[in-house]
Amino acid sequence: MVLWLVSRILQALLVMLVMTVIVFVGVNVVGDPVTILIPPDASAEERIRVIQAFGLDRPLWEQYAEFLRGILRGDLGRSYVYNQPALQVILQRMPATLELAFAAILLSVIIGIPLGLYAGLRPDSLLSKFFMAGSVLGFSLPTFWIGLMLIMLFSVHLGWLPASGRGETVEMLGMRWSFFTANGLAHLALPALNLSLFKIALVMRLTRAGVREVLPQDYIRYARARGLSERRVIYVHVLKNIMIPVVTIIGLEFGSVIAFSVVTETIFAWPGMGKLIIDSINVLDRPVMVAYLMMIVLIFVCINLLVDLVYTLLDPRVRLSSGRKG
Amino acid sequence: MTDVELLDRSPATPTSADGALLSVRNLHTSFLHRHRWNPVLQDVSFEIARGETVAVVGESGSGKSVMAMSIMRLLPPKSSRIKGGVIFEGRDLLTLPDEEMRRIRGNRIAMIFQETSLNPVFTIGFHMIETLRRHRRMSEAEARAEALRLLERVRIPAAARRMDEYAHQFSGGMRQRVMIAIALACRPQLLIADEPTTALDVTIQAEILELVKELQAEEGMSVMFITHDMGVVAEISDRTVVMYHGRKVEEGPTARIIPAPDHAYTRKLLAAVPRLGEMSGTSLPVRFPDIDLATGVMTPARPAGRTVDPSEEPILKVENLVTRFDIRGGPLGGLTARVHAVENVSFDIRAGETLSLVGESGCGKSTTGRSIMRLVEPVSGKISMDGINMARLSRSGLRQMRRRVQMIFQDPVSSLNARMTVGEALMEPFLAHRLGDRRAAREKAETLLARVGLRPEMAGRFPHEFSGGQRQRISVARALMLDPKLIVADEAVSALDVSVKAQVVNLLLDLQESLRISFLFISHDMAVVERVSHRVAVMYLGEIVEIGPRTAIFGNPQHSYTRRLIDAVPIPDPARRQIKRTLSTAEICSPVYATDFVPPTRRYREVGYGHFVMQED
Amino acid sequence: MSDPFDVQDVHVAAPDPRETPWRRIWRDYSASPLAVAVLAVLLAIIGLAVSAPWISPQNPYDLMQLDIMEGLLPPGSVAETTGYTYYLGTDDQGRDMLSAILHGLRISLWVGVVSALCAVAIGATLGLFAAYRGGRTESMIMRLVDLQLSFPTILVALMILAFLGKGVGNVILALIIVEWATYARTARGTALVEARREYIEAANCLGVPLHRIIFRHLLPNCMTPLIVIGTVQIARAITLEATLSFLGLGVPVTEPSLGLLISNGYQYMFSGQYWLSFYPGIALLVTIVAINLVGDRLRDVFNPKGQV
Repeated sequence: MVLWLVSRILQALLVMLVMTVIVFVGVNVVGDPVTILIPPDASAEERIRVIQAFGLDRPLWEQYAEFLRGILRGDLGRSYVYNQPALQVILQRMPATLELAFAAILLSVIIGIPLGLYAGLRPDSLLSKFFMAGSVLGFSLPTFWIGLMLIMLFSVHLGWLPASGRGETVEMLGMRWSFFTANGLAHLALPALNLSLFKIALVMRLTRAGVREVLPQDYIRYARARGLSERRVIYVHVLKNIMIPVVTIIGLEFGSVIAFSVVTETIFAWPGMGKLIIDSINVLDRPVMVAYLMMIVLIFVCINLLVDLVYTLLDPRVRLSSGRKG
Repeated sequence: MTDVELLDRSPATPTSADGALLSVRNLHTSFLHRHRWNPVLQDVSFEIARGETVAVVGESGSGKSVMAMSIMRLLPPKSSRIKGGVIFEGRDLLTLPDEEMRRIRGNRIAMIFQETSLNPVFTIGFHMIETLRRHRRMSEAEARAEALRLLERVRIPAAARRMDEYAHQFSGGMRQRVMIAIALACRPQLLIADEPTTALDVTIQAEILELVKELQAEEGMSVMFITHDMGVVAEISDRTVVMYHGRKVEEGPTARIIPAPDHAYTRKLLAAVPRLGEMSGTSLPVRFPDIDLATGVMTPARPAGRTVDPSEEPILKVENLVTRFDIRGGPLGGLTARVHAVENVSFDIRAGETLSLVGESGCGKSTTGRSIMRLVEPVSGKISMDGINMARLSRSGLRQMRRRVQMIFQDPVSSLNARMTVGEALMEPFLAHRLGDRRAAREKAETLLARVGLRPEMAGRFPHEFSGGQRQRISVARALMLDPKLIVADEAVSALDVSVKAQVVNLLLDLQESLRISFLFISHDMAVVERVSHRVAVMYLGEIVEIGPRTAIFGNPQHSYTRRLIDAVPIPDPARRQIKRTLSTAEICSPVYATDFVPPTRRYREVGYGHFVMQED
Repeated sequence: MSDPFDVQDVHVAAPDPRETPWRRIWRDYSASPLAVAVLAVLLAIIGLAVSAPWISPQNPYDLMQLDIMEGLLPPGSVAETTGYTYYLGTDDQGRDMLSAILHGLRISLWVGVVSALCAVAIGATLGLFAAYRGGRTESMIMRLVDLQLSFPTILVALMILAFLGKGVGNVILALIIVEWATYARTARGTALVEARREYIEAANCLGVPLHRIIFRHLLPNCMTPLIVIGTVQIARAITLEATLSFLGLGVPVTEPSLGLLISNGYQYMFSGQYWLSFYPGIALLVTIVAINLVGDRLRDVFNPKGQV
């Protein structure tokens, strides 16, 4: 088990390394490295000075080594716009994105799993068909369009919920959360709903597919043959078997939610990493772009590792694959 | 098509005339398929008395499993309809409210299926405790203690530790014991066993049957045993119910039915069942007799003609064949162990001869066949055919040799490409080897289709339009397109129903007689092997433990494993009901060894003419 | 006529003779009239999009045809000079929304389909190759696939477009890079299962040449999951392109896709001129929903529970 963990961590580090190479290549071969380091409107002398100071006239692999060293030090350049270290800019905004992502995932689990369970157990009922039709809409509608419609409906027409920004926050554990204030929740509601709609549909379909696959299995028939109550058959036997793939996919989707927050944050002006990156791309604040990329890679690699760990803990077949047969 | 039948839910008179434990009366079951109701069981009636074992026997489509599910009311309520009466202990199960029925399931009537029925994500202790606490008032600790006792009763070693293990950590036989233990948890009056041993090896099956007999005697419970194997029927049951196409065609004491069946179908079924030991009078293979269901006329068993000339050189010589598989594991995918699937195997086959490779799962017989065909690469050894060593051929040389040795496979469903017509599948090898143009290919395909008992016009159909037996015939025809001298039949009849199996075996014998084809017949079914072979090789853990003429192997088995194998085969002779076996709980080992394992050199002694036995330590 | 002694298939409804697998697929698909209706809608949309240059009343890219005085007219207004009815209104430049939508549909579909087809070709080839070869080659290819798939599509596409810049070609390239890995993984998974099946082994034994085994035996039997995934992926590609364009990183203003139209029109929503965003939005929705529904139905047809 420990061996497995070590090997996975090594693999994760390898992935990070590969990403640094890709980013480096992207910046130096596709982009112009000089423009990354200096604002677009610098003079010619500044360019020459910068080139020499940053060693851009040195061979490529030396530059890459320097780039790596910078990363390990935590120095990913300085943002033009905010005039702060890029990494710091990103870390300031990360909590807002994480909060949004967390709210979205929570919604998708709370709504998606029960609905999917129902649709799987009673596939012919009218309600099930309605849910499934809704789920097709849910993952067909582009997130941005849903966002626009949500704003039109709830903010402009009904005036119930605010359309932009983050509400009041409460400091807890060193970070600011808007979960705990009514105003904060009101501001969180629409963006979270927007971000989660796709996931709700996905989780619902996944759960339903899982139920349809597990229900005809031998062991379910056997559970009934032993006289267990229908409730137990479903909520213990069926559920446990479904949960394994569902949980792992939800975990993986957490990363995707963070990514899609780019759209939601733009529409709702939510002050998170996603809005930052779009703004940065538009004004070509490249140090921030690079820092964002590396940060995202780190988050994803960590998520994948965690999900793998959880999966091996949940599924005894995988956990005990080295167990002998007797 | 019949409409939905009205349910007759009036409570039946809760008495049975002779105190039968279970009385099935006029049971009708229908399934809803594509908006039509199809009758699956029609008018089935029989009884099970206390303490008696009744076997329900039939082939696929007979409805025997559906009947068990109907009795237990485990069919999906929306797409099935059951009519009739099922009186158990004086109550009609079909009219009970759901909650009452649940109290009976697992409690008064227990059911076991094939051993894949344990939930893979829960421990077996969990299953047992769950069942115990459902039906008996017990605390967790009491249930655990009781579960332990039950596991020991079905002779699972180290039960206390194994209770917290998962299904995949047990072998098939052990899992079935666990299921039996669970079934006994509430001391049921009736045990319904739905093909529990079908997927198990024959020695394991013998142990399970023995266990069931013992426990039945101890508990005094009745058993309804569903099977397709007449040998099992003879060994385990007092009475037999024969089913065909959803109807009961015959019922009676096993001791009477097997020697003297009444109905034409029962006679046909029994005619198709090979009886171990009945071939001792002849040294040649013998065809199965056949009964025409419509007329009742029997085609008697015809011996095959003499096809082997002992003075000829063998057409296939296998010498010291070794095939091993690497097992990789660990974080870096390094080599952790090896499977010694085929270890130093040697044998010859002459023209027109059938050599059978028998053994249980994991013994290496399939891998031997595949190694000869080079579907899997042997590590070392010589495979000579017509003087050429096939083990060392390049790919192009190998293609040439493909014309001389062909293979037919076990699964009739996946051995034909679903997206190709049967005619194209047949013509393909002919054209690939450039033996002629398309017209010649088609002619040959049609000729061979006729030869295997199908009609030439069927060439334009797709595989899904044929039954399992027909698909195997098509596979045989396909193998014959290249006029091979040897056909490797890898469990080619194992997946077929009893009567279909007999027909395909007859076909193979016909072909052998007319074309002098040799067969390497790979099988685990000793009784069929006895019927079709000239010579037999018994394999265990990748090695041949005994090889010789069929009469010698079956008549005078020398190696202990051969004897165990032969002993374990259930024989459809009711007199054998009383035989008690002394059996161990030994598992079938698998030939997985450490990377540095050096297989010991074996010595063989000659016991008779051409009959060799491996020396046992 | 089946063998009368074969009892195995008695209770299965005998299929019509001469039924090819394709006919059977159509028969199963069309069992639901809703599915057939959705397919008809989809084909109509494709037809409209393909023929957009010929049937749209106005060429929205021809600046000469635009009159800014005709801008922001509500649906149903009539042009002063030409007497032509703007059924869906005009945008701020005076473009007829109907024409803009037809052309936008065309671009959206073009981008989605081309990228999906290229991605399928690349991904499926690599996946099949990996499955066939096994060993190190397979490991390496699948590592690459895993790497690619562990990052969300939108971010990868964003980054690629941030570095490459806008343009239809760039968007297609970004989408291909994002999509191929899904096909590769599916193709390899299916190929692994199919390649072990006995009809492939039989073809091997019979001496059928390798290229025929792969193309005549393996590929046709691996196609069905690819078709199902393909339809869903096309929908996702279209959505992704719309999202990217909405964020300002996709197609250029000179070749607006539906996403860009929605983006351009968004600001006018609040002042009540909904038609600039709304109708393109509906067009996008109907297209994507139709594709997804067809894909769903195909999945049910290819893997129904209880059918072999």
